Amino acid sequence: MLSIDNLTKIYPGQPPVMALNGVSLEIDRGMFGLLGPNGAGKSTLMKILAGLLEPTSGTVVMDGADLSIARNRAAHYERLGYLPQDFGLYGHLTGERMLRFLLELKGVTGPKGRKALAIELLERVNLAQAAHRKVREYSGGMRQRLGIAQAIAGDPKLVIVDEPTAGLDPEERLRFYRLLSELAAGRIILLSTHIVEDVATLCPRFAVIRQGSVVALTTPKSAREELDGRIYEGVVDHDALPTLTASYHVTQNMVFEGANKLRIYLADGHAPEGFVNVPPTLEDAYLVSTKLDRRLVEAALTTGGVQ
Amino acid sequence: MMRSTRRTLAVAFNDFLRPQSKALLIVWGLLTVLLAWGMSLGAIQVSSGSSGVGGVKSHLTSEFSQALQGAVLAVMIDGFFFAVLAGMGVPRDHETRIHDVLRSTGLSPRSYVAGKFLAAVGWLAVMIALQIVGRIVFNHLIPNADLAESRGPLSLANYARPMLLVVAPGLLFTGAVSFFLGARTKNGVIVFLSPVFLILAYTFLFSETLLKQLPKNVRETIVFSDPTGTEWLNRNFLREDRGAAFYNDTPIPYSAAFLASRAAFLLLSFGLVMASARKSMEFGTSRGWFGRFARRRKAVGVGENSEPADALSRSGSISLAELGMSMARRSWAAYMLTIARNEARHLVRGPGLWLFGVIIAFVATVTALFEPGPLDTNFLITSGHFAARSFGLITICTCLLSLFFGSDSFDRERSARTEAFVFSSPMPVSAWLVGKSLACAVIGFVVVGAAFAGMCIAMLWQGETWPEWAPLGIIWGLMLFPTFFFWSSFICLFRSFSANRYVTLALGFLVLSVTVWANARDYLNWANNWPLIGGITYSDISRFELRRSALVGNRVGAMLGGVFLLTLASVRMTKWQTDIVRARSRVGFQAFLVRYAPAIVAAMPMLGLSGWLYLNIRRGPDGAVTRKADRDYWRKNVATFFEFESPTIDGVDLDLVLDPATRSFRMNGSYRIRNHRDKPMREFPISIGRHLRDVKWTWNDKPCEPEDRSGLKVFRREDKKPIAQEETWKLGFVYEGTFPDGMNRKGTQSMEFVMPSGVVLTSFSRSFLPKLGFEPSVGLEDDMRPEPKNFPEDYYREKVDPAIGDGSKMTTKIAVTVPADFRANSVGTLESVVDQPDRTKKFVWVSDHPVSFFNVVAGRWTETAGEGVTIYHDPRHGRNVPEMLKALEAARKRYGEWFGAFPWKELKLSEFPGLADYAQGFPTNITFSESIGFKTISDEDSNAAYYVTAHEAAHQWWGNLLVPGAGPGGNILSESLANYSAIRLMEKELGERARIGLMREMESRYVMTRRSDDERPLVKIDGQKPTDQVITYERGGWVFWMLSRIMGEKAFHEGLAETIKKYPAGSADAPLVEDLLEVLRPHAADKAAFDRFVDQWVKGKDLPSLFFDDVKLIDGGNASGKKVTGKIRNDGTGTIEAEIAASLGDRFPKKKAGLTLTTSNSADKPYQEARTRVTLEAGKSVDFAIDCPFVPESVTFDPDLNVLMIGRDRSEKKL
Repeated sequence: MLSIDNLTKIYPGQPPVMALNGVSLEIDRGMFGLLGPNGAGKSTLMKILAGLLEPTSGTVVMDGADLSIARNRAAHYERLGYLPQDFGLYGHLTGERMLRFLLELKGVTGPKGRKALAIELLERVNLAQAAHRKVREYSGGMRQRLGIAQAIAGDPKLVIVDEPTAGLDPEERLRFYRLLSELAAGRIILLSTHIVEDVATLCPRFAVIRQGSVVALTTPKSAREELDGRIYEGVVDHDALPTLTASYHVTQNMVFEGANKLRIYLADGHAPEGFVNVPPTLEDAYLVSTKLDRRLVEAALTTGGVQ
Repeated sequence: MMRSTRRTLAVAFNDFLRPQSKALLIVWGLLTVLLAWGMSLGAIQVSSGSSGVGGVKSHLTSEFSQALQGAVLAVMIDGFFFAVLAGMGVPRDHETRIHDVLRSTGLSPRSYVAGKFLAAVGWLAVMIALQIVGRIVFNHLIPNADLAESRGPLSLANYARPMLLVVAPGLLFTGAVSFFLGARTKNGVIVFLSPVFLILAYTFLFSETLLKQLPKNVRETIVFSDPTGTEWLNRNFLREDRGAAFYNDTPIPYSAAFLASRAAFLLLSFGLVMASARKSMEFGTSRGWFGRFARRRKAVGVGENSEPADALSRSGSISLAELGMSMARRSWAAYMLTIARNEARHLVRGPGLWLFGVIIAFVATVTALFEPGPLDTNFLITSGHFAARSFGLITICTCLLSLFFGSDSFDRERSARTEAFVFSSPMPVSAWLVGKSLACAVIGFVVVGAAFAGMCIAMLWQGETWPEWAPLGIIWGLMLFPTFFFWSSFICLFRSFSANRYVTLALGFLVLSVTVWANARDYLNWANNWPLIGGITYSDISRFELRRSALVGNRVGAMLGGVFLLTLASVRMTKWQTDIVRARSRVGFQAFLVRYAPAIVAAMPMLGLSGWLYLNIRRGPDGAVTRKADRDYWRKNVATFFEFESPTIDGVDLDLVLDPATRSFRMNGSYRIRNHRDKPMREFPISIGRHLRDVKWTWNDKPCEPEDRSGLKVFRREDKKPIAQEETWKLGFVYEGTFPDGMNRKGTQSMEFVMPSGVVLTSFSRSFLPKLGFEPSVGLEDDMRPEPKNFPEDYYREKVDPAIGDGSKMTTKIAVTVPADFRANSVGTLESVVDQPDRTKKFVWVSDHPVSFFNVVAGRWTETAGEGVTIYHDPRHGRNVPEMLKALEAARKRYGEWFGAFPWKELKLSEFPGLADYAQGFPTNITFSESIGFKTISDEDSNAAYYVTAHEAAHQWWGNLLVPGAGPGGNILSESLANYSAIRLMEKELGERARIGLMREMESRYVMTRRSDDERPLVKIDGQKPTDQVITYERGGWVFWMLSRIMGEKAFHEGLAETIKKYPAGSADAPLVEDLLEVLRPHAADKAAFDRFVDQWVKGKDLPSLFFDDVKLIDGGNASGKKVTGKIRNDGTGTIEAEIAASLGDRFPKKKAGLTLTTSNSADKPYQEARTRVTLEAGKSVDFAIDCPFVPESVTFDPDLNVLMIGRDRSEKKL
């Protein structure tokens, strides 16, 4: 169990930036998604959970061990698999050598030794063919897969993956989904992303974080159900767009076949002319949570007693 | 065009106004201001002017001094900072991956590199301006009061012109090279290394050691390729002193050739910057042309390894469980080794380290081969000697490389963005720090390996020695490793303060600069000398026996310091990035103690050891306690005993028991003293060493207790009656001692010692004997040392005391007991050798002719005997013994014929460990350091072993049979005549070539060292001025050679022999140089010529300076030959008469064997010459013409070196 209690993080500066503002979460084994727009504080939260960053206040307790205590952090590193959002690799090493180095640092080995394990892990992320190529010759997706390979190595009790599917092609994304879902049994997997599809596919539970605060904590199904009957879709002229966006809570505004296709959230009242009620998607739920006024979000998404 | 200029300026302004490495600039600025202050204290100035109070001083503010200061600082400081600043511009942009964006703006590579370099140049201009302003402020606005005479009026041109014309072009070139390398390779380490490469190249290529090996015409051209400009300044203005007035008042006369070379450097810099444009904005060229080969090789691989389509579509098992992964708890050491291995791979893959290795190997080879020994001969390369000599080079190279590689290494996770992986692993941060430090040790290995390779190459070339592992292991292993460890730990600590590599670099540079400054100001001692600068004195015979405890303490201290720094760094640095808001709330003493407890504990052993070293230094021979006691000795007694005339010693009877293993001795001895004064005396003082213990005195065998006057023992008769004229009494003394005793401040040499491997003790000092009288030099602080005494012109007519010893002419009986495997030598004849029951031997030496002073020397020797002479030497040092034996035999025979018979039975030469570099000619017993002649390699032109032996043997006459007086011109009779004797002996025994070689070297040393404003005539030299020594030895030796030619050799020698007869040792009136001249004059056939010579060279200080003008080779008008015509000009002082020779071929061709870099086209032609003779007055020139029955190649003034002069280099002109 990972307990996050009233976590705050302030970056000093002029003016100071409050990256996290009283975040509290209880995360049990299995997959947990953390959805939020860029700059919402997801990566800061991930770094704190990975034991790399001290919060300004609040506590993080992993299986009863408070991470503010150095001894607990040392044990925490041994049970951690971490794929940061922004990372690099030593370009002059081969993929196999790079992974072997990281396995050495993590203390992970296999029955046939570390080198064989590195090759097998690379095979799992579909990099076996490039195992002996220099990392500097890898594409962005290949680098990402190498990062994934090191994150899943060993027997981590907590796997933190920050924007893991960025740069992966659809095939690899599916492969990665499969990997994570296999790993999810018996451990906590924390998936931080702004891609709703990732959460929709993988996470039975997720939280939406916005401006450093958790604005929703729900399941994909509940999130959709909560919005049921409140999402309307219609096509409008370019001229009518400003009026409409000023009068309604527009969740999505897409250009579709040359026309403006709008989805709006309407808790009560009448829909504009030409708009029809449509089944809500998880993306609607996410966008409602990130765009609407916080009180409205709470009204829309957290009244279902999911917490 | 306009657009591209605008873009260039936009890049330049952006970089200039928002520099990425502010820390570097702050430290650079700080150092600039500090050094401006340091320069105002006289750290660097033209070596000229008078050392006397009120004498003309060379100005710190002159253009020459400013040029010198700027050039030295450019090499030491500005070159590094500017090269790093300029060189890192492109690689930094490469790291931030901004090149694609920049390129998309239409910015051309040329505009880009021009802008980048211009920004760095802007900062260089700021720093130069800061330097100028700083110097003006510290020299003129808030000047140092002690140096008022060393400052001239403010002249902005004196500051600005040399900075622009001498310093700036070289700096721009250094920066341009670095910029080029950075733009091409995008590799920070190579950028950091480039200034080290360049500075090593500047200082090595333009060193006198190497330049001397080059042909003259190459040497004259190469000065223009010195970017720092110092070689041009030295060669044209500074090497031969022109007097302070010239330097103070004359602007530097920049020659057109020099200005053209400066312009060439500017063009070259511009070319380098433009040449770097092509690759500057390319992405992924991190290895530049270094990696071109590797990329070509890999180009095929990319295609081969591209992902096959079937792999992408594979949908097989992805199960992780089947991998059977497990977590194995690893040890701290395993983590540390993982980091170290990974870092080592990074280090060794780059070309920088290996290129540097090759350069160090080359420098080591050439330095070893050409290292100048005594008389400019080369040294025999031995492992220990080479290791000790290269210790400084290896230390500085390793420290700089470690700093550059270390700052890069500690920044690697951040710059490669692998921090999150590495620090989220279970690896302890201390393992990370130590692993990185350990990897830096690879640098030490490479540097040491390169130096070793260089040494092996040099040894193979010499073909006489092989590497010895023990001294290499001790010096390059045990002594060097603590420095590496300490420094790596320091770099760790810097990193723990800031993750920014520039901060690490700047802090490192600051610490290195402070260390160099502290060494220059003599603040380093055993307790704080972490790089062991100047702490090593190596001897094959005595391996680190001298001050071993201090040396061990220092090295252990460096290791403990390293442990402390590492611990502190580990405490400071955590993987958990601390929250600043929380950290502020945790501030407090208790929190500090809790956090830093491990560092505090780690500091304890280091502080304990440093404290122990400090206390020992304080109590040591040059520590505060001893200095206070010496000051008290001086103050208490100077008024009472300064002019006290001591009684004389008629006889010495010593029983000395030496225990080399414990560095101690026991003395039971007595002096037979006589009141030789013309009146009774009430008391007499004796000075004794503070290291003597349990001292007991007897007066005529009865115990007595002298009055202690702050260390000066004052003796009176027991009955308080005065000591009658000519009364004789026996003063007995018994004591024990250890010498040297205690720990000195740092590892200086020791002239006398009792060591497990050898012993040297003399009656000159208080090392093992009481000295009669008060010693006014003890306890006198340097800054209170008085000016030389102003003697009246006819002082020599007064009764003059001897300069060495107390004027005694004594008989000696010296019994020396040593371990059975030792031999002990002293003055006189060996009366007996008795084996003692305690496995010791007693050697009893008795003087067979009275002596004035004596010594004791002991060692484990091999004996090589000749006719009436014997050499006692270390069995390993037999190389030059046959040559030295020949010199000793010839000296004894020839000097005896020339100056009077050698009165003693035997003449010995005893080798002692090279803990000091000197030889001393005590009667019958010459002591000779291993490092001054036993390990030199002689050739036809220079033979140090022969010369030093001949010189010391001459002291049997000049110094022992005749003891010079303590007054002006006294020492001329000892050292100048010993040098003359050696010159004449070498001429007779080794030939004209050896004589010319010796005199050329003497002349060169004199011309380079003298200060024209400080120079006094030989009759005034009393050893009190800094350049008196070189005048005494070199000018004095030359003058007597010239005088012998004026008088005729035979007449001159007869005069010398008569002088010894007239002033034998123990004379009531000791002779000065004018006494000698009075004896010589009657022997001169041409008295007028003698007087003219004496007025010019002995009573005057004339020195001619020769120049050839309009030298032409024309048809001779005769059937077979040519004619050489021209003018010869004397810009110096004095009138000279000398020959001019036109010649073909080499007069003294080099043998094919041996090492030389010079070549001669005429090596195979038979030597032919024709001569003419000219007389040349000061400031005049004369025409000359030489008819040659051959086609001459060169014309030489004074080809036989018979006239001392400035400008020997100019005295030969190729036709």
